[in-house]
Amino acid sequence: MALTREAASTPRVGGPSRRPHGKRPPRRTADARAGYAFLAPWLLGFIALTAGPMVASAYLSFTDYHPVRGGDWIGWDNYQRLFDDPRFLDSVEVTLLYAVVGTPIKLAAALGVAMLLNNRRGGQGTYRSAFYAPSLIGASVSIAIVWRAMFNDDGIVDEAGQLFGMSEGGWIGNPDLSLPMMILLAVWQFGAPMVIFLAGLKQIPNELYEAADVDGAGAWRKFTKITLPMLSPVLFFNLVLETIHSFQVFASAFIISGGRGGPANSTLFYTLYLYQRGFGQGQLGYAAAMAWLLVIVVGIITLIFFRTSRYWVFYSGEGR
Amino acid sequence: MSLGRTALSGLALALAGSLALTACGSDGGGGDDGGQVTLRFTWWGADERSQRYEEAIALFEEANPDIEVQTGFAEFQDYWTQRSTDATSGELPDVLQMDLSRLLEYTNAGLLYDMTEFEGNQLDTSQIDEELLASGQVDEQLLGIPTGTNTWALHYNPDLLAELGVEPPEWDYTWEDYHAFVAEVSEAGADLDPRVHGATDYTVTWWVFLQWLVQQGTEPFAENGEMNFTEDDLRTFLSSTDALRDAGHTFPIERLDQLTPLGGFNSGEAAVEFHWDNFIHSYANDLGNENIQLMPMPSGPDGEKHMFYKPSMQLSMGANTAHPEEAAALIDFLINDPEAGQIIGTDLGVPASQGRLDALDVEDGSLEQRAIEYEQRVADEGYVTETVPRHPEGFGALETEYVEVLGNEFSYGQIDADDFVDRLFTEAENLLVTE
Repeated sequence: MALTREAASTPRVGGPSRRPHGKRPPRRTADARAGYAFLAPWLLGFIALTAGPMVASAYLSFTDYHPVRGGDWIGWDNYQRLFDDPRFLDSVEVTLLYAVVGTPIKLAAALGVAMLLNNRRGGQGTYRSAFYAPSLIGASVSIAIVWRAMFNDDGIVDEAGQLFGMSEGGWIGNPDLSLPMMILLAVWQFGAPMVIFLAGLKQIPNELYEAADVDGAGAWRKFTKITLPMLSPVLFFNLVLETIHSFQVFASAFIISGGRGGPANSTLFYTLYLYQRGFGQGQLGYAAAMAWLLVIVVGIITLIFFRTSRYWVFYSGEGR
Repeated sequence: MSLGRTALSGLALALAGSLALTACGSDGGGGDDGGQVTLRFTWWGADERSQRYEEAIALFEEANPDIEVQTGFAEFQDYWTQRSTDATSGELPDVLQMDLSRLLEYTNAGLLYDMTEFEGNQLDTSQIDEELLASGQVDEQLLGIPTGTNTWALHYNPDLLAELGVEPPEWDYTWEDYHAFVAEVSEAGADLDPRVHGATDYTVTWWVFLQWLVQQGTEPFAENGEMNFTEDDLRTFLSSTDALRDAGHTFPIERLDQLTPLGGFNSGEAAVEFHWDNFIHSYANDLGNENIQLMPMPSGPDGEKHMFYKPSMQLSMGANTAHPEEAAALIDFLINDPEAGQIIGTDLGVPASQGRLDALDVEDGSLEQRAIEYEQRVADEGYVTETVPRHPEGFGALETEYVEVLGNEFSYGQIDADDFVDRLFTEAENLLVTE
């Protein structure tokens, strides 16, 4: 977009004089038109596939729309009902817990492995691929099914636990363990942030470490005083992305709990509940209200991240 | 300028092209090329049912080489999720399995095809009992053809009971007898691995609640769609198995959640289960054992059973169908054709069509025979005295709330009976359509 604008506004023919109130010169109009023509496929897609449905869902959230019956305008009722709905509150709790616990663990795992891989030793490519693989397959349906089998009664995890004298039974049917299991599944897919961290680590000038060595700094000190500050923009990026991501978890929860969010609502993620209301019970208006609330809350959280970033994100060249 | 024009015309061309393509796409569903007609047909059910349907459809396609039937199936709850999505986009299947719990909803939204015009032509309904046929009629329109009847039953596993040394109840048993029986089985099966229980807690089964209400003399729903039962009724019903639950005699929900999509009974870990009698087929299939027997529901407070037949399911046509005549022919085939009947058996209920039922060649000792004899015997014994409870619009959604949401939380002890009652009555205001 920016590129097109720039090209369109670059005066080519001797720079026409500015005429703020008159008609724009034909050359520029033509260029702009061409620019928009090239943009059109994207714009059409955006309007038809993103903006349109968003407007529609905003409208639906103020109706009691049902896919079979249709619906009427009911004002803010859906939004008010949300706060009297015990399952809604359950789903908020589950999702927040998942995001607050899962995201830091995932990022820590990603950073840890990235630092190990950053040592210049042989076979780095192989390891990198091996650690990245779960992210490629992790979101798939088959992995969720395998996961379900592993954590069932007498599944491999249960048996391993029994070896160590922990006979808890399967995690799937245990409301206390099913959410930790989901978090584990998410953490295991640390490949994407890991690769980004790895790229960030390679950007840190080696001289900094050499200088620190000369000054006699230990490994921990180098990590906290050099690696973390230098990596903070990448860390910030990963944090924002993974947080948003964790609010949107759906497929794995849907498959592992059979769409129910069980046991006992312990894996009733926000999006899963939204799906149940919207498509299971046909309360599309209610589901739309939930969707909009999610957009707003995620928006606010992201905004907070950006606002607070100036206190802890360090951009080199900024001269702080 | 020339660049702009070229780009624009190129774009216009591309757009026109893609529109043309999508236009082809939406027509493609009908598939009219060369007189070939494609019908879409969907149902809910397990593998067992799909094998039967697929086999019958193959026969239909053989007899009608110019018709191709595309099929799809899902488990009951998912099935309705898919259909409501279809309904939103105006793309219901040409032929779909319909349930009383959704019939009014779909009818009132104008989503179903009135099949009256085909009666006596493509569609022969003369063999179907009038009262049964009327269950698929709304305001003199014919919207669903019943495939058969079913009624509630206690399915039991005689081999498992023999292994445990527990006798099944007598046919005239009461709810108290049933509770004692469940406790006895659970105690006998406590040391087995995996542990065997008597049954799942029936209070979280919507239809057992309705059957229980009918036994108390309460018609569950009024004509205007409102609930006739009170909060106290529901509370009493939910607490009727308190003793069994507290003693750990009902099938544990933690285990049940892991067995999904199977249940306790069809995993061989529970000895009995209340369900519609036609579930005998999928149960036998899941268990890999045909020795499953049926007995009626426990007697109510007056010593009577107050049971009822329900049209097990109906076949309907989406109002948007492009090939109503062919769709009607498919329904007729599935309802009346003797060969199809032999394949389908009693999986869709005891056949609604008398001709088909008479023509059914039932093997001695088969599941079909058991289902047919069971329905015959409960009628002969005078157990079936009621008509199926009313299904107001929103019935299906309320059932889902009862079973999938509240029943689950209640079983986990997350909510107590009072919460259950409160929440069901609150949700009912949003789910039921009342006049």
